[in-house]
Amino acid sequence: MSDITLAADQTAVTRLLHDAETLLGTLSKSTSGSFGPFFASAGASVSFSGGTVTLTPPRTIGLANVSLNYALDLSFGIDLSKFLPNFCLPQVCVDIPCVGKVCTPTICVTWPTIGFNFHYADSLRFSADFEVLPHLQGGDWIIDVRILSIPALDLSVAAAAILTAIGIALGAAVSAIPFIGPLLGALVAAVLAAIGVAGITGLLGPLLSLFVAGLTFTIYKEPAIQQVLPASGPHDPVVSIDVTALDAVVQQTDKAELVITASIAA
Amino acid sequence: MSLTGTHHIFGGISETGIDHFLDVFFTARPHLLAYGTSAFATNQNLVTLIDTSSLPGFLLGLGALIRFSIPTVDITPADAPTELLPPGADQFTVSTDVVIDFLCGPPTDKPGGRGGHQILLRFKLAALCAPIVLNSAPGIGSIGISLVQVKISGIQDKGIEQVLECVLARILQWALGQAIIPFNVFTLDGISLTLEQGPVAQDDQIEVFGDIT
Repeated sequence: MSDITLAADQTAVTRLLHDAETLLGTLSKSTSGSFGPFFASAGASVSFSGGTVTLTPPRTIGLANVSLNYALDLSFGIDLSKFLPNFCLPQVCVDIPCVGKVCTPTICVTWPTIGFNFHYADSLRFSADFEVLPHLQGGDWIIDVRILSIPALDLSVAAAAILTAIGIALGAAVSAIPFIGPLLGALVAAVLAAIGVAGITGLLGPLLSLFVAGLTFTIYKEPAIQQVLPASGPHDPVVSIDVTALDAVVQQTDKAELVITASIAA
Repeated sequence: MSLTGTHHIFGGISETGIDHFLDVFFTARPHLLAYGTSAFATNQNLVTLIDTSSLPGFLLGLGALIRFSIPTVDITPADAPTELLPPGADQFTVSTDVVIDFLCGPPTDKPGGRGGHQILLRFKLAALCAPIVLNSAPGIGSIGISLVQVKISGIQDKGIEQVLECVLARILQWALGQAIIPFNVFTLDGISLTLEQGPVAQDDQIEVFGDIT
């Protein structure tokens, strides 16, 4: 029999994991590259919340319906001339009595390259199995639960919403460009068609997967040497115990429990 | 049968765990296992002083040192029915060896010696105990030891045996009263426990049940 035994059922482990999600906080990563036909840089911030725990012997914690809350900041560079035809307004001359012939200059429209920023926040849910990993690190006993494999992230709904939002942002960004009014609808349609849902998922999928790959929650982290009683007088110094070994496994009896066992030094 | 039962959190410290804790506790605070008059209590980190200053003069020169070995516990069920005080339901037995040095007479001038006529008494002591909650609030709390009965072996005279049991029970009650086990030992300091049931002495361990605060 171990010196100390601590057991937590699925309800308690769920709360431990939710605390661990909060402790993990917000993670950020950025990337850049082609986004459909455009150059884009993308930054993403992610946090995790919720989820329901299922414990499976010997060391698996299944976490279902975890919310992956993400915020995207995209910066686009788009050369409008790739989507809109350059054209010239021809010279027009008019004979005006007593004035003579008056001509307008030839006006050629060259579409600029524009940049615009786009922010989008949403959440998606995923389910995955995690492995319980107790270990000693830097004088602390730690129990991590680490994801076993990258789950499929369903981005189809989000991608459609993002595409629509990009269209609106693009429309606002180019609306001040002279002569674009009659072409605006066609431009937005052409750009969105060029990006497509595939373009969105092609960017988002790898980016968000970076956060999920190796995802690790720490449900326990305490010093190996733990003070259990404070000093209480000149002859009564601090009392500390030294946890020399720690393990964590899932046991299934009439209910599933995460059982943590520890040995303390004499 | 699950450990948590109808609760969400279970914490248990086994006999060896308690033994290790008592070893650490009394090694850090050895004076709780030694009580002596001034001739013996020269270092109060090691020996708790028994103040005899109010005794009449003709008793001065008498001295005593009562020493306990670091105790060990047997949590119910009893390891052997032949134990001095086998633990019953929700009880545990604390066992220790006792040595009493009794100094009869004033110190002499012998170099390095305490002098006088020194009497040495050795015997075994068993104390029947029960775990009690000293305080409990969501997330914090501690468990103490309540002394139920003390029994010694190796003393022939029944009257002296009872006198010693009476005196030693008082001393042991004080010493064990200092051996407080906070909830965070049960939960390895990593989970904030709200106590719902216990402490219970059973299955060779002290057990608590509760929920995460």
